[in-house]
Parts: sequence; C-alpha cells; structure tokens
Amino acid sequence: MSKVLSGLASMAMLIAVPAFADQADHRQLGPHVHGQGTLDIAIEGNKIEMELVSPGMDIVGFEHIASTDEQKAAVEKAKAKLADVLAVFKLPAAANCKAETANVENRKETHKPGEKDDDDDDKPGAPQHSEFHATYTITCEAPERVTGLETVYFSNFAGAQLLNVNVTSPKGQTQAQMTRDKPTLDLTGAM
Amino acid sequence: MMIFRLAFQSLMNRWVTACLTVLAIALSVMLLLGVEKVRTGARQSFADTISGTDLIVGARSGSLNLLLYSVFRIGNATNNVTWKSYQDIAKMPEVKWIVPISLGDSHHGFRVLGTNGDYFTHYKFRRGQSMTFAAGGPFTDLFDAVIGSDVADALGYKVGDKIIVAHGVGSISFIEHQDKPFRVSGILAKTGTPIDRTVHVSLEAIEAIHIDWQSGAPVPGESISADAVRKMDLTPHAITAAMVGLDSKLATFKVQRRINDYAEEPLSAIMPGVALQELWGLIGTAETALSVVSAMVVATALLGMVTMILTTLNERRREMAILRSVGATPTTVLGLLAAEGGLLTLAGVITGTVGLYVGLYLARPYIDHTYGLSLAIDPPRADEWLKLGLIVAAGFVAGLLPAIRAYRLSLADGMMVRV
Repeated sequence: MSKVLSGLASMAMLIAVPAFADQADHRQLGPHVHGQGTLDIAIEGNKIEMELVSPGMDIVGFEHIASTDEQKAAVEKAKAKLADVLAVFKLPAAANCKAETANVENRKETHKPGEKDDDDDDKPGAPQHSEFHATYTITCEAPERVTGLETVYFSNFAGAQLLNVNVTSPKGQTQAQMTRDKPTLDLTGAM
Repeated sequence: MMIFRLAFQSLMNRWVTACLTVLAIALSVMLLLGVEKVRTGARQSFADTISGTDLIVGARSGSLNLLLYSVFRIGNATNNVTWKSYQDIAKMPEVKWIVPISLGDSHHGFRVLGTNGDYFTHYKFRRGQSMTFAAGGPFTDLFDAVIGSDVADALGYKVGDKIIVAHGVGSISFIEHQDKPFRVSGILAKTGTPIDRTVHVSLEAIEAIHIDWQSGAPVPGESISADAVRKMDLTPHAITAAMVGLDSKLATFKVQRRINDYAEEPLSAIMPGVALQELWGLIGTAETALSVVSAMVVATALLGMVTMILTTLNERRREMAILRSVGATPTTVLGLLAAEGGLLTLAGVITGTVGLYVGLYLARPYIDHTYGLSLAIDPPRADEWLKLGLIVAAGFVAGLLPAIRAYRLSLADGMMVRV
C-alpha cells in the first residue's frame, strides 16, 4: 500500500513540477524610452532580416488601448505604413530588393509576440506602455549593392527622434544611430 | 610663374634656414598624419579584439560590464551562469558552437581562464584570424595550461614548466593551489589582445583545484590528491560566461532575445561587436585630444616659418630694393613673399607625407609585433588630403604677414636703403 502511495506521490510530483515551473510568475520588462526605437538588421547572403521596435508614443502619440474611432484609425494607418518596409527604409534601387514578409504588431510592453491580450488593465485611460513591433524579411538580387539605407521613418512619425541600429553580417557587427537630422545609415562595411 | 621662380631662387640663397623650416613643417605634418594612422589603427585593433563570435552570454548585466570581464578580463562578473543554463543554450537549434569561460583565479597577476579545447579553434581576432601556438599545443592532460605570449615573456616560462595557480585575482595572493600544479602545455603566439595576458586551463581543472575546498578556502587535513581527483566527476556547476557562434547571422537577434527572456535564470546576451563600439565611444575622447595636439604642432611649425621669414626681412631690404629698381611693383614684392611661405609649406607637406609612409613601412612589423597594433599603409583619405591642402593654404596666408610688412617697407624705402 505504502509502495503504491509513494509511487503515486512521485508521479504526482513528476506532473506537478513542470506545472509549477510554468505557473512561476516570471516578470521582466525591456527598456522603454519615448523618442527612441531600435532597428535590428541581420544580413546574410541575399537575405536581410529587420526588426523594428518603437514606443507607441513615437508612432501614434499615445500608448493606451485605442478607444475612439480616431485612435483606432491612427493605429491602423501606422501599421499599414510600417508594413511597407521598403517605403519606410529605402535600400539602393540597384540592389533590387523585394520585401518577402512583413509583420507589424501593436502590443503592450508586458506582452510577448503573438500573446493573447486578455488582461483586465485595458480600461480606456489606464496608464500603460505599448510598443510597435515589426519584423521584415527582404531578399535582394544584388546584395553587394546595399551600401546604405535611407529612412522616412522620422518624417512619417512625428514622435520619433532616434533609432538605435544594430547590424550583424558575416563581415562583423556594428552599431549606429539614425536621427531626425541624419536619417541615413552607412552599410558599406557590412556588405 | 616668374614670382615662384624668384621666390625659389631667393630661398636657395638661404638654403640652410629654408631647409630647417621645411624640416619643421615636415615633422609636424608627419605627426598630424601619423596620429591619424595610429588613431585608426588603434580603433581597428580594438575592434579586432574579438571576431567571429556572434553572442557573449553571461549573468544579467550591462553589455559593457559583460564585455569587459569576458573579453578584456577587467572587473568581475555580477553573477555566475549555471551549468544547466549553459547546456540549455548549447541545445538551441541555431547554436553552432558554444565555448564556456570560467574566471576567478590568477597566476602572478595574470588571469586564469577555464575553458575547453574549442576555445582555441573558435576564438578569432583580427577579422577571423585564429590563435596559433608559438610552442607546444592545447591541453592533453587535466592539469595542462596554455599561456599567452606576454605571460611567457614576463615570467620566462617554457613548455613543460610547472606553475601554481593562486586563488582570487590579486597580484599577490595568500592562498595558492599548491597541491595541484599545472604543466605548461603550450604557448600562444602574440595576438595583441587580452589573450596574451591569460593563463588558460580546462574547466575540469578549475573544478578539480577547488574540489577539496569549502567556502572558498582549503580545509586542513582534507586535501584530495591530484591523482584521486582525476577519478572524480569534474562537471562544473557554474561558469562565468560563454561565447556563442550561430549557424546563420540572421538568427542573431532571435537567439539574443530568447536568451534575454530565458525564464529560468536572468541572463544577458550581448553582441560583442556592438559592445566594443559602445566602449570605444566612451574611451574614444582621447582620439580627439590626440588630434587637437597634432593640430597645435602644425600651427607651431607654421608660426616658426613666419618668424623665419620676418627675421630675415630686414637683411633682405636691399634685395627688395634691387627688385624694385628693376621694375618690380610693391605688389610683386608682396606676391614674392607670400609665394615663399607657400613654397616652404608645400615642400614641408610633401617631405612629411613621404617621410611618414617610409617610416610606416619600416616600423610597421616592429609596432605590430611589440604593441599588437596593426597600422594600415593606405593612401591619405579625402579628409587627410583636405587637411594637407589646408596646411599649404595656411602657409600662403602666413606668408602674407611678412609680405605685407615687406610691401610697406618697399614703399617707404624706395631706392634709398639706410642699412
């Protein structure tokens, strides 16, 4: 009897332990600075992957859940603008680049990509931070001609001041900044 | 053209002072361009400290802190990384290779780094260059050590020598792992990176020398012999950091984010190239200071030239008067002296530039070997050409100063020079 019990107990533990680990409340937040976005660019072969993370403040001017029709329209318009990656981040025409995929999300900073938003702190006016996350895949016919990048991000989005750009390619890793005054990026070292 | 020929002839007449002036300008130009070369060389060598590594993983901290202790052996880790997390990262499908690093002990002030054999194949510097052995080879035994070239030079070690590792990282240590000496199995060739100042041992050895210790100190009467320890399980419990290489650069940011979001342990994954640039941004102010100093030297040389021309002016009143008598207008005299300044500077700039490249060519192997600084011999960049052009223009303008004085004198003196 005791054997059965201990067997049951150990089984229960086997089941319980992973369940417990899942339930463990894991809390952490990334940085969130208004005016500053991050653009990650990874280049290999003829593929370029980009990821843009910008505070909602920079893109639409508010970070609460869009409640009025006007706010909802603003979010949708911004999403549509960001989805056309080659219009926002212009690559040299000679490189002949094509956007393969573009995925734009507007989510609370506490949420992970694709996570369902079912919190109860979404009441209109509740203080919170939200971010726009955009991921892009681009292929280029002549990747060696991608010598730089020019952006209309700052003229499109009035709240944006700065983009911290991280670039990685087989040639190495670099960091640069694009600003309202200097909306260009030199990629000659990366290709 | 006539003016230039006259100026040239006149200078030839005073060739000693003229040569000295040219030399002063040449030296200052060499300094200006040389500082620029050293600056870009230092920047490049700095960026070349680590290459080929996509991510460095350590306990949650700032990117600079992690870079400093894992690559430059400066400062200490905020926390260790558990062996379990290390294995989890190693299992990620995008990870091609992962090399553990364990720090904390030292040998005569040089840091001891525990790692495995992969370190010598995967750690790259200077645009993908691999480490090479000047003597010996990687670890073959548990208590083998591979030392950097500076360690070998400073302490006079050869392959086969026995060394004792000290606990902690001070240059004078009171607790040593005396019972478990290491044998030098290899000496690395000079790299110009912090590797030169590191003693490398295996992770298992780091575990082995601490196995009979408790609370960071040896327990009297309870030491386990070096032979006994070989039979024990020496899997490390924790490491300080890990270097990660990925199959594809495209995965870099994805893997970085996954490690930063790793729920079981707070970890940081940094891109070494990006962190190096951040660090250079902080210490790079020294660059500006260097440039300012060399610009001052150029200004001093030009000032010296003006002084030279001005002081000889009095002696040359007769020369001016003769020129006037054969029909030279005061403007010609003005042009003559300005041309003189310009010619001197031009000669100085040319001599200096040529001198720099000859010097670079001759000194480069020595500088690379002694300081690990690789200086590029490439033609002056656009901004350097601009600087050279500006110096020549400044020479002409500086020449105007004595020229205006000569112009005045030649008007006042007329033919009657009272010397």
